[in-house]
Amino acid sequence: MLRQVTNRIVGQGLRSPAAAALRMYHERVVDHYNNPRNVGAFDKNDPTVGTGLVGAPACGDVMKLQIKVDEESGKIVDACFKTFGCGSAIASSSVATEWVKGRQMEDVLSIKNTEIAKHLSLPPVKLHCSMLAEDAIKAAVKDYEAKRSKSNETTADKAAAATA
Amino acid sequence: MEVHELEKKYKDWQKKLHPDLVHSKSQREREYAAEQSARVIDAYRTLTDPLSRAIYIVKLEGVLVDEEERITDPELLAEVMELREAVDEAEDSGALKKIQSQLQEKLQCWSNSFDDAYVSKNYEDALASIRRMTYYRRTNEEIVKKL
Repeated sequence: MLRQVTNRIVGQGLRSPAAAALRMYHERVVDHYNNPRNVGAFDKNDPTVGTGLVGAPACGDVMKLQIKVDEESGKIVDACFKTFGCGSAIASSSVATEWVKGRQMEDVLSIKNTEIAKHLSLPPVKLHCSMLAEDAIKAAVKDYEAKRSKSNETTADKAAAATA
Repeated sequence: MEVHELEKKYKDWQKKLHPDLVHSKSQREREYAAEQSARVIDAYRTLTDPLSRAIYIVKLEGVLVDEEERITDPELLAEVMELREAVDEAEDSGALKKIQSQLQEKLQCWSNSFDDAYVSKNYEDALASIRRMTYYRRTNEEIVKKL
């Protein structure tokens, strides 16, 4: 359906005011849909990777967002996503991966779904897609931190055992 | 109500209401019959599909599916991710049909789970079954598009 919309918009050009409004409304969503950034997958067992997996069952959407963190600086050096769902969900997660790159892990927790929705001009009925992206960012950070604290535990245990 | 009973009832109603069979009656009666006939078709379609039936039945108990719900269940989401990726990567209709039959099995299995949960008034589990069936149904739609 999104492809038909794209073709219709491109076809009509500037002639119809309705098409112009529709084009502005959908422009960034269409862009992310046609030119998705950062689609892919990291190895979820890699200790520098955090994986966020979230879903919206009523729409049948599923969204995976992964971050690669530099352990020393706590900076997110890379991000990727894989989303099955509507154009708004795909675009929201695509935007999320762009926005988290190069930022501190704690910082990205303050990314709000309303900012993503505004950036994409999402209609009210699609707001929950941006919420899903916000959830995915938080889940990825949480996963990384859980992995890190688990490995710290193991290191601490080993150290304690060694000195015992 | 069992599914085969449903079909019999459907046919009985259609015999009474079918527009072709009431042509001799008055205009008002024909219109009424046509309208009722359409509603019977609608009801039949809702009740014979396991997912729409499940959603309808719990609705009668005041339990509504949340259209904007978001979940983080890792096991379910990982399974759905895997299924969607398999459909995405499937190279021929044989591969797609194989996934489709897996989905049919899962749909049947969770439809049965729904029935058990509903009968014991466990609406949490009933909704969980609906969630699963929705995901499998959605995946099936993607297969149908590709085929």
